[in-house]
Amino acid sequence: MIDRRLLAACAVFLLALLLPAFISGYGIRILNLALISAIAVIGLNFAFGYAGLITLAQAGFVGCGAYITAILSTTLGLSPWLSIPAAMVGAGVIAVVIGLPMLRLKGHYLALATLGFNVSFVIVATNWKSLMGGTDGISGIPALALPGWSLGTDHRYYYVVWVALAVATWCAWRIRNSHIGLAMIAVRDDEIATGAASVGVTRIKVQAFGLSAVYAGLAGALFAHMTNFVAPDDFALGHSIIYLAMLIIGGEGSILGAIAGAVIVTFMPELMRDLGTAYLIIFGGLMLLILIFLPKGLLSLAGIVGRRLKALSR
Amino acid sequence: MSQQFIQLVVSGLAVGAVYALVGLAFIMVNEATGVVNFATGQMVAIGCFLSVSTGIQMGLPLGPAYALALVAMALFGIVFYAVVFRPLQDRPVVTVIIGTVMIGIVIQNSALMTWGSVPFRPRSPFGRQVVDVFGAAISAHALFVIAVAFLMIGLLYGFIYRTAIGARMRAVAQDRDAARLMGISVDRMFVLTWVIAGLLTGAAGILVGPMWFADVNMGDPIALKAFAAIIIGGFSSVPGAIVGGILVGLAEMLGAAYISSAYKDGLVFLVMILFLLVRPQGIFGERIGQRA
Amino acid sequence: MGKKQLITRRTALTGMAAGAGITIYTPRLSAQSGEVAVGAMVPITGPFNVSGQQYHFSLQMAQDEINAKGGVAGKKLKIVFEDVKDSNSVAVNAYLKVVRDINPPLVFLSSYTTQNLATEPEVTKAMIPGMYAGGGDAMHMKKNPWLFRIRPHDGLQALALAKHATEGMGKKKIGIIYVQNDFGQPGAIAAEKVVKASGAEVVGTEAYAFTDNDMSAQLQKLKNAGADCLICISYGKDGALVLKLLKEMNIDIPVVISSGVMVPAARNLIAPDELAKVNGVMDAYLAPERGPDVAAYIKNFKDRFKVDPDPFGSCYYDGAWIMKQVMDKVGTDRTKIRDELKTVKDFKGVTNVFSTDELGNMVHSLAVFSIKPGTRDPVFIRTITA
Repeated sequence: MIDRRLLAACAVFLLALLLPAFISGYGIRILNLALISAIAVIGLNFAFGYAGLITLAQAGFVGCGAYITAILSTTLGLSPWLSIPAAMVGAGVIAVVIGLPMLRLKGHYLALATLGFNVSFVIVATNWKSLMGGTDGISGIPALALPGWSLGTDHRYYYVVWVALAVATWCAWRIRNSHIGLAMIAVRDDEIATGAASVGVTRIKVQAFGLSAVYAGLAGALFAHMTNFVAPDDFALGHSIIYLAMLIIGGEGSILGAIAGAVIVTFMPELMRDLGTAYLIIFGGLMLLILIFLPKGLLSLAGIVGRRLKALSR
Repeated sequence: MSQQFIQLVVSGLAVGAVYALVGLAFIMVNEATGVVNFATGQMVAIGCFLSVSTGIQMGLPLGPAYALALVAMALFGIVFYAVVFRPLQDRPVVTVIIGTVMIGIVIQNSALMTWGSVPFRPRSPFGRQVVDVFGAAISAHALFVIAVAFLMIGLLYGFIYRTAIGARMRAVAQDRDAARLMGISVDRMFVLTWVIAGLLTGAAGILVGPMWFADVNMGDPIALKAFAAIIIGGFSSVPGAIVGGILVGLAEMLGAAYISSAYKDGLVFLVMILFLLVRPQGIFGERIGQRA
Repeated sequence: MGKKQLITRRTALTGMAAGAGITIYTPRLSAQSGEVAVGAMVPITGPFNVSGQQYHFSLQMAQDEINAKGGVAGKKLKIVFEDVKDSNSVAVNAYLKVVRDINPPLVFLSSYTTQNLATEPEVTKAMIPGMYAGGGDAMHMKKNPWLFRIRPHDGLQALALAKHATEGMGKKKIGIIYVQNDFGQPGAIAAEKVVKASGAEVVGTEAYAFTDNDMSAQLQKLKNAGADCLICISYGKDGALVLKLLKEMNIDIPVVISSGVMVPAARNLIAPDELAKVNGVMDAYLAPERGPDVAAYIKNFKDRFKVDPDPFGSCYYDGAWIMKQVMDKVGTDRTKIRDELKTVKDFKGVTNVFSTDELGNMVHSLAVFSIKPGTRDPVFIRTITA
């Protein structure tokens, strides 16, 4: 039986194909940013939504991906088509290396350790001027191109991001329903029980963590080739918190929720641009209200509304 | 050389004492209520700016200005309890973490709208007096910070371990349900905990103002160092927060002087991560909190 | 547990729906046919808004004065402001938004270098001339033909600091303290070169992080190294902290300090006795003594906004008048404006004299000040030209 939600997702994706025809460069840029964030948040969903790991390092891994592709494609002159996969692998490897010792920690200990990693990443990126450019960052990152056809404009790049998100979503869905995904959820649901059943709890956690970083690496690389510029500012701890907020707002443990959360949270500041400082007060307050009143995220709102409508039509 | 060393150690102690106060605010809240409060740094900033309002903008003498600011911080603790903690108290750790981060964003930007982005320079009760300690020039305010911080920590210690209310608070921290069965009003203890957190962060903010100026973005850097301090000292231990805070303060000063001024913060977080990996219970911790 | 909810789910959801309603309403600005609309990327809110406010004010004033004198290219000038806050991506988005909304012939960019570095690729794509005030040398190293800087660049500032310490004050043993970032680090390297070239010695170089609040270890080291003068490359608050610490630590050495500390908001953080041995550079010598135009500018600014103008923000006022001169001559064609901006020579503004060089830098001198004893008031010493 085909999952009904998957069908709905397919419809949304098809509609999305036609979208750029109606949107300006500015709107498309925000949309691209939203979809790129969605990839990072789908990744985060493995670590947090499935395996239950509280990680505040996702922006750090996005940064790893962005800097790896930036360095490879500028200093070393590698084609972006090669440097993007390298960024994914690189971010994943870094996550596995730091995850092996770190993932023995639980709860807020893990949150603080990953927070430490993210803060350290920014300190290193700010100070390692010769490799990472310091606060001046790395500029001149080439745009993607097909033979004889640049993908440098926001409208064309939209399709690159769109394909990447579609593939990422499909892979995530497959992984979710494979034994790896089920094992991750088992770890979250009852760590002690699965530990007794010797499924290799740490191995599964490292897998989830590494996978989330691979997604982050892809998001970072796509970001770098869109903006043509990276600086430490874009990967600071605050962004890790935003990624986590996106997932919780959308609905943790759900791929669609991850995408919805990323899109909503990316568009919100732009729509409320004219509110200035008050915007962040409203944003913080709204997030808090959602956490309090919709613990399962905004997707659960759809369910609530649906039931209401059914009750009314009866 | 030795004069330089004394100067750095006193500065390190003063900074460390502030981290210890903030760290204690974390620990009190976490032990009693199980909440990791990521808005603690913003509470420090509010404490500092309340003393700006009372001491500079209202022009009160420093004694009443500080007292009024602390009373306001105690009220702030109660508001925090009602608006943030109560609705989120039974939620998973991560929801609470994100919730406190969000309220931190609200607080910081409200402060920005209220006090503006131009920093203030609060007065110290000792003005800009400098005293001679074994040939080293030490600002009187730094000594004042150390004295007040330790006085507060001593009072808190006495309160928790020598009074009936303190015993009740400890009972709640150890086992909420058992405490409730014994007839202790758990909610009242929670309110009290948040009031204490407000007072500790408020004091830290008041003390830090004349040293570092009042700046609406001052909260997060202080909170991050206080995090590192309690992890090094021990997440659930009062002496741990003090020792951790002072270690971080000294490491910052001496690290900048003798190792590298650019990477000294990285150094602190490296030590923090090492502690998490090798000895997550910290120096003084007795148990690993698995309250996830 | 019988927990009482303070707010019910229903009221919360209603509130959220109302909030969403507000968000959907976005005013879409568009230029009317009788107007020339240009964009301005200003940090209106957020932690950068101290300098952003001056930038905002000086352009508002320029807009009204220019319109009183016939507008630009025979049409009314309208400056559309976008808030760039304190983040790179917000700045880029703001730029794309203003390009979409008004399709401007010229955009005033941010006064923060990293934001401009992030926006620069979009400027190239949009092919719209821009004027900016961020000092970072990395920006003109891009050699972007569309961008023009209307204040002295950081390298020039470092050169002025070093020249004044050595040639001006005759000091031989210089200690350098700087903020560890794109502003301080290259500045320290450039200053060190100039000091050495003048035959003086650099006895020590120390850095601190942007978020640091205590530089006593670094200052102590420089003192022990035997410095007879400090060059301090800092922003406002951190520079004020350095001067406060020097006094507290009884380190009685003259300091030559960068422009961030010399703006009124920062000087007010420093006690007069802490400023006693301080010399500082500023982008411009903005005082009534400079002439009737400058005096009128200062007076009008103060009358209208109730604060004194500072040299950082005022350069945008000059930028707007340069824009008027250019557009009056060549109209609103972007390429023509760019080519005309390249040829600006000896334009006398309230802050400086503007002449474009091959890197797009239009300003080539800055002013050195001491402080009047017992006050916080700067006293002009001299101008240093590249």
